[in-house]
Amino acid sequence: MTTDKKLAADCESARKLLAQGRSGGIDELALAKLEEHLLGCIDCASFEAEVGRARIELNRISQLDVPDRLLLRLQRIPEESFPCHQFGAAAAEALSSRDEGKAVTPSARLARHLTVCPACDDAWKSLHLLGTLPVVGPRRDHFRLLNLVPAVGSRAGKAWSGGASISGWRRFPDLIFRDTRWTVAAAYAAAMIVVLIVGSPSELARNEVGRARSVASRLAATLPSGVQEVNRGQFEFQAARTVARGKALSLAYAQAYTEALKRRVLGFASSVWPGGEPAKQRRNSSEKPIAPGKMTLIEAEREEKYFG
Amino acid sequence: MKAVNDVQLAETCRNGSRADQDQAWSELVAKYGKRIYNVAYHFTFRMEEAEELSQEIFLKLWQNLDRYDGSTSLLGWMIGVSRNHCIDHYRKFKRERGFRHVGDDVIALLAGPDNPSQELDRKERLSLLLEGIETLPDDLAEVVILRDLDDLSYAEMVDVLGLPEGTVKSRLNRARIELGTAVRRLAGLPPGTTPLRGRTRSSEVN
Repeated sequence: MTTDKKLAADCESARKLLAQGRSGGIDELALAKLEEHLLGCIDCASFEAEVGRARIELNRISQLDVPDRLLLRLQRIPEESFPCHQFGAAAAEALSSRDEGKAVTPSARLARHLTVCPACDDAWKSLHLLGTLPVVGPRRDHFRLLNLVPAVGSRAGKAWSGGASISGWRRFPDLIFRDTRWTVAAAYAAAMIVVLIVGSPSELARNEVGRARSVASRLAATLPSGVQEVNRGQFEFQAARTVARGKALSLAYAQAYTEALKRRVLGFASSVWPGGEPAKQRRNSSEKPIAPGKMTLIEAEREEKYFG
Repeated sequence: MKAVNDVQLAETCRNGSRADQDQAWSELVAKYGKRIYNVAYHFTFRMEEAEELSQEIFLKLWQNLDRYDGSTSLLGWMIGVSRNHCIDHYRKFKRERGFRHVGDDVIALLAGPDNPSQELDRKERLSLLLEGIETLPDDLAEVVILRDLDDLSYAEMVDVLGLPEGTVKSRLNRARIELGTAVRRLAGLPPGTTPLRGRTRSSEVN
């Protein structure tokens, strides 16, 4: 080994020892070697001084006081915002004004929250949009989401929504469901509404696992008698699963699903149904029909994104 | 309001009446606002950014208070949330804007008697230090910031970083050595020593 290489190796060893800390972590022999090296190596000695100086310099930076204007803003956070898990009840309360023929406007607190929380803002817009869907499609061989909603709006719904009035949901627009696909979509929509109205899905998760099944059963019990058993089973299964899973991801899930549902419902209604012959066009669509017990595209997307 | 401990404070913020919530929150802000604000400031060294960051952090804290289970100190939990938020911002900052320039407001923070003749020197040294910190890999930079700027104890750093104390100490020492090397290099001083092996600088990667 040349002198230069030996010196470099010694410097490197010295730095490693310095990294372990001179005040502790190295034995006396190593410390003695380090001291000896530092005495003979100007570079390492100045290096160590540099490290020490840097630390002292950083320590000299004093702690800033919080500016008054910031302090005021921070203290107002509870007024201007509320936890996302309160969104469901607040949104249901606001939407219930539709029942009285009034314009739907969020409360001041909710409105302020929507300005700072994109997820809730999207959920609000989706809910609002869902609530303004027009009647679509023919009225035969189908059942209505309208028929499902009173089950949610009964005693249990009112109790779970934390006292918020959800009577507005009784007038939820007539959505017409033609086949299994729409059955599942209705299940998801109803379940999503349940998730939002009930309030905190995370609370459901922790304490009320049984309620998800109960809600789903109540929903299924309201299905018209003409609905085939396979659809009924599919409905109940999907509703229970959606409610149960909504618990974990709460609004993110509900909001994402609402978006997907909105795209499907509105896209389908606007591009296909108004032109007539929906069944024929649907056969030509690239979207596959849902087989009972199998995942839909939406489900698969959601599964991958949120539960994968 | 009578004196309450942090767990009670958090609980009141979560489940108290509206008035109690507001009062508890104000107390919490008054108690820990300075620490959180300084964490944000030391990751940015810009007052406006630190204010924005602080507001985002406190909003996040408010919205996630129900996740605080009382198993660690409230301050530790709050700083942990702040650190996660700040480190994301710090990485984005480095990626988008490169080195920061030291403003007069930072120079004013240096303790000690005012001496105009030394101000330029102090400014240059501090600039080098901050640039040096930014050349460090993120994991090393954050331990320097948390320890030397935010003055966190080792125990607090263990909570915040979720690492064993030994790892925290060795990482901190390694960070200081790397910082010394970086400052010398930035100042145009001869390196004198070979750099530590086995680590890749983020600046070299980018």
